[in-house]
Amino acid sequence: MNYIEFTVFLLPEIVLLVTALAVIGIDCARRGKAATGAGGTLASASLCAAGILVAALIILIMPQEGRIAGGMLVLDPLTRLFKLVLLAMTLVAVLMLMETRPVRHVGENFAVMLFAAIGMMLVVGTEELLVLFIGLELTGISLYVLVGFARSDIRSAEAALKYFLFGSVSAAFLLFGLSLIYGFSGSTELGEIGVAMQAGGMEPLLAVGLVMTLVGFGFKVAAVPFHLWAPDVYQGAPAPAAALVASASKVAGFFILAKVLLLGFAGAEGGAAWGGFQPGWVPLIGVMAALSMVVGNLAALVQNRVRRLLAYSGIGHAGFMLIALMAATPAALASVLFYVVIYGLTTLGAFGVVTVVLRAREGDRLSDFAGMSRQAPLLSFSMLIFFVSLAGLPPLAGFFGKFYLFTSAMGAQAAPGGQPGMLWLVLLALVMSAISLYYYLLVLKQIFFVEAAEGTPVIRASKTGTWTCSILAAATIVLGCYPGILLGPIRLAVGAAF
Amino acid sequence: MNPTLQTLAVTLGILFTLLHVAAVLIWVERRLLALLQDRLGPNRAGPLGLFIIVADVIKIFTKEDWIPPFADRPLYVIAPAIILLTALVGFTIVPVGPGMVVLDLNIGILFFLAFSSLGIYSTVLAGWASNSKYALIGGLRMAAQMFSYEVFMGLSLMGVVILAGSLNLSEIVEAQRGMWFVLPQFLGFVIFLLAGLAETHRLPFDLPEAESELVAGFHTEYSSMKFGIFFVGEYIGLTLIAAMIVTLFFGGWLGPAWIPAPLVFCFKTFAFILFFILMRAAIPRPRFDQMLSWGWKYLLPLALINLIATGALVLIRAD
Amino acid sequence: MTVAFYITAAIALLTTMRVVTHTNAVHALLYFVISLLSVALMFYLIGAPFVAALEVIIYAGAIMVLFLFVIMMLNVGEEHARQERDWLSRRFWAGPGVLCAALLAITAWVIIETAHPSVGHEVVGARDVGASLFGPYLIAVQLAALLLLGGLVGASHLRRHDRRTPLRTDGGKGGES
Repeated sequence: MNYIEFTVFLLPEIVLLVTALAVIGIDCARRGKAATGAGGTLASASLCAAGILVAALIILIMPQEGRIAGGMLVLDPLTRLFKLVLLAMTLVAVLMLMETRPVRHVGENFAVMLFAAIGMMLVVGTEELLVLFIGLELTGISLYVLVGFARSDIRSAEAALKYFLFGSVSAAFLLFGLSLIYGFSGSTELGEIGVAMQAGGMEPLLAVGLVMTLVGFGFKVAAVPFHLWAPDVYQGAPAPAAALVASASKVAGFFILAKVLLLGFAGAEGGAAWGGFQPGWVPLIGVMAALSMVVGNLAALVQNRVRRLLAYSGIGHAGFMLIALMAATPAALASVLFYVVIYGLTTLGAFGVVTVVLRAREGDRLSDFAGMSRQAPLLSFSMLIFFVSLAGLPPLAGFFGKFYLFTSAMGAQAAPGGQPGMLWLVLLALVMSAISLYYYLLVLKQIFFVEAAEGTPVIRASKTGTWTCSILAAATIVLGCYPGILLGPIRLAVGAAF
Repeated sequence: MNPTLQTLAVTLGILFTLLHVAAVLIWVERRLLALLQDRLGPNRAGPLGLFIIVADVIKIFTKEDWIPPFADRPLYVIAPAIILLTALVGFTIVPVGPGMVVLDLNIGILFFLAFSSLGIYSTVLAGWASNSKYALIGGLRMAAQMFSYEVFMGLSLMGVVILAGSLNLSEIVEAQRGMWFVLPQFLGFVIFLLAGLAETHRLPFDLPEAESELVAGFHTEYSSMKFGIFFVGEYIGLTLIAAMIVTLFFGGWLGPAWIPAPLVFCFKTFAFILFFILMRAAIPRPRFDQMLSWGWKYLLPLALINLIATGALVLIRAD
Repeated sequence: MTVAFYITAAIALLTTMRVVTHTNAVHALLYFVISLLSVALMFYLIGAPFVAALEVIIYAGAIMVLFLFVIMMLNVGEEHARQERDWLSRRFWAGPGVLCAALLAITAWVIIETAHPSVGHEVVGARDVGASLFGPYLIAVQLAALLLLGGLVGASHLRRHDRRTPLRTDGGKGGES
């Protein structure tokens, strides 16, 4: 390995890093003048957007594929695709940040967002525990700071503190678990760990390591019982930060969880069927999935703030995705990845709409959305698309996401030698999906059928906000009509990787 | 000679010398400062006023050992012990002659850095445990000063480590047979000298005790032998820094063949102790913020540049 | 050697317990320093002198002093100690305590169960550590630098005084920046 190869593999990340430093530089240079105002925000945002686009372009045209330094950096169609997805989500978050009120030192905000993106791209592009942990920590630290960025707001500080405490404890668990797994397998590379696990069988040491690792990842994907931070963070954080936590961070989390489970923990699946219990990670994921679905969807029913509602619905969606992870087949993996991307896009869009409402009405209670369809019809229509897709109704992308998720899970049960016992979870998921429809409709009812009370401020979306949300909504419709344009590449890439 | 016996002899010798040096330094410093400031200094008790040492010791021992009722008692008592302990333990890796070292560690420099950084606790805890504001400010200053200057204290030594190819102090001395490292590592030497002064909180960096601002800083509340131990610990720390400078940059025990190696070492070390005392007389104390910003803005980058340049030159010459 | 190792380990455990249970912040911190020192000694005993030295220099000697500095700056006094004592009531620690005890029991059982080779026959010196940091782990080292940079930018933002906007405590209203 040499520096040239290393630089080529990390070129997109390096571009982002340079952009982040340039943004900070601009911020410092403007400090002498009035560092507030839209001018600084626009300059920083366009620089960030340019950096992200260049990074994406590099990924698109770079022919480099392979793995260096024992899997520390991996480039294959799958990682490239997901790096692109993460970049797109970060771009939307950057645009959302532009939408919020200009504050001082906004450059740092953009820069930290780019750092989070770098962290997530590292997480996606590695098959080695050390780099994985560094990437997760970089993501984590950047997100803690982003969540606590609105320092004049005590809720933001509370959210940041909770996120930080949960995050650091779970990172400690993750690290402890990973070190036990390293002690068991003698390697930090996922592939070799998988080989050692298949050879070694289910030893007690490995079991402890597995549980601790899953605790760490459970926090990242906000699965019950490691979800307690999510509602407060979604609500307290500045909306762009919350959107990033809800979308890109979740995509990266599920991607690496799937990779660790299917590559590293292959051979330690165990069984969760009634009467066919075997120790392994499948029973653990099964419990987490069932709890997440039930707790997330039922708790969402009683929320009266949209961001908390999105948080609990996100927990429920995490439960759906965990079901398919249990299936542990390439088809199921493809469906999970498809679902998480769709989920990320729609949640981003929903947060975009929430940002606009927050800016106009200083709150995100259900009643704050009243009469929105008259004042911002395009945004309201986008929100309709997002929520209907999240609920999983037919012609939209969310429906196909759920469809593939559940069919692949059932397929794994039907296949010879597959994972039995999926039926009950899928049935539970269907029931919970139906319940989730109710709370999504509650919000939509406020938007479309309730008149705004006298004297409530009018919701006016800027061009950027409307355009961003509309494009995301359009993407949701298009992916609903032609799911193949995303699912196809994912299937191909998964097929190439596994 | 039996190796165990030799180690024992070296240990006792170093301990004996150190404790006496600490005592004699009280007299040396006072006489020398007086000389420089055109005064007489202590000249009444005994020849040249040498008995002032005995008088001082008697005075310190017979004073009331007062622990303030508002102090944090256990920490207040432990604090002076830490400074003496860390300084003495730090001496174990200093080779005073070929083979004459208590602990011939492979990580000698790191051991020295570790114990000199642990020495901070003494002053910081003394400041905190005294529970009075001057002492607290002194302790705070000490903490800030220490971890600002410690960062490049280690970095400034890495040039020497690169040149010698070892962290072992005896090997570093041996590597200086051709040329003392002060010449190729002059920048490193200057930075280490400044960091060492800050670490021992000697003038001009004695801000933690700055008597014109903070009464006596972190040891304001101390009396009797506890105060005396701070005093002795400070002198031993000073001697340790001087000994390290000699070992790392001035060829350690290397010298003319007709003088015994330990004597050469002692002579060089004593020269540096005198230099430190002269610094005290010559240079005024900087403001606290100035001192910290020098550390972070100039000395740290310089230490890094020195490290990178040394590494690059060694690599180029190796090719 | 083995006896020394177990004695040090016991000291590390006891002092760490005291870190958690102590109500005086500075005393707890000092127990933490002792715990770190004993961990360093354990590293030394199993043949990693370089790591041991770094543990003392960086953790015990620098980071803990920083902690102490912050505690002294905040002027934590008797009031905080009382607050800590209140928090140490049984209904707060009983649940986590039981869970931790269970985890400890499982881990201990696992370690006793697992056949493992003994360590500490091979001394890893500074040169070996350096060679592997600049060899196979080069990427990880560089990325760790990136991690520190990210943390630095975040910290420099969080510490900044912004006197113009006082802390908003009205609660409930949105959290946009």
